[in-house]
Amino acid sequence: MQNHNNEIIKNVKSIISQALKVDENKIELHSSLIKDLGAESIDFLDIVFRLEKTFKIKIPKGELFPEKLLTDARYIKDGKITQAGVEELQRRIPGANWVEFSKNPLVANLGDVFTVGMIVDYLSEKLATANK
Amino acid sequence: MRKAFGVDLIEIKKAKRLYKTHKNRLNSFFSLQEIAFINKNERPHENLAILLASKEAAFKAMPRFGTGLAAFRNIEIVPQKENKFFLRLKGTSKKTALKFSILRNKKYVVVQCAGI
Repeated sequence: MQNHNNEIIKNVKSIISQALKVDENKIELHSSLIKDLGAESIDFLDIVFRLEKTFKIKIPKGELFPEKLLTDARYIKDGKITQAGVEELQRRIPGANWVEFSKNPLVANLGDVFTVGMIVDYLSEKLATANK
Repeated sequence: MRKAFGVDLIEIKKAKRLYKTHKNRLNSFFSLQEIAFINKNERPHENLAILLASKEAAFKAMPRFGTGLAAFRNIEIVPQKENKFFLRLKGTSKKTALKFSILRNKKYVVVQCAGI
């Protein structure tokens, strides 16, 4: 299992390095894709396509980056994520820094909490389910 | 509609790389009409950059449309003549009142989106 996870981490770092043109050694599990590695919207598309190709999986929209929640009126008000929205995100992505995000929960700031580790966790779970 | 404004910039070099590497996967995020618009240009990556920047600008102007990849198919950019297009919400035929303008040079495409 550990070897399997190491393989996932290695592949994810390689994909992010290629997509964002950053040195693989600078990519850590806690690195934020936007804040630390400079990802832009176009890069998220590139990353998703590369993940699908490398891991031979299909990533349904909104499953990896849960933006679908942001089209739900219960969770968004005036460009901000409501308390209920933050709680829902916390449930879906427990490892992210929601305390920091809650200080200024703008929709526009959500990308800051997407980390490399979040992708690794998602893939570990997805691949484990697929192999059952 | 309340006053709304959004702007986004896409680096053409990145759009070119994205198109070259993943052109067969674009249908995951774009409608058939949008893909036809992309491929209509001799330099398809330029139209891809316009579409990406337009959607991001619309998300910024109207946060209720959503944001990011999951929301990409919630809205559809419907191209018309001479770089003019309108935006409609998925499943409707109704035009939104948003207006778009495109600026570009060799390196970047910038799209401004405004609604009053």
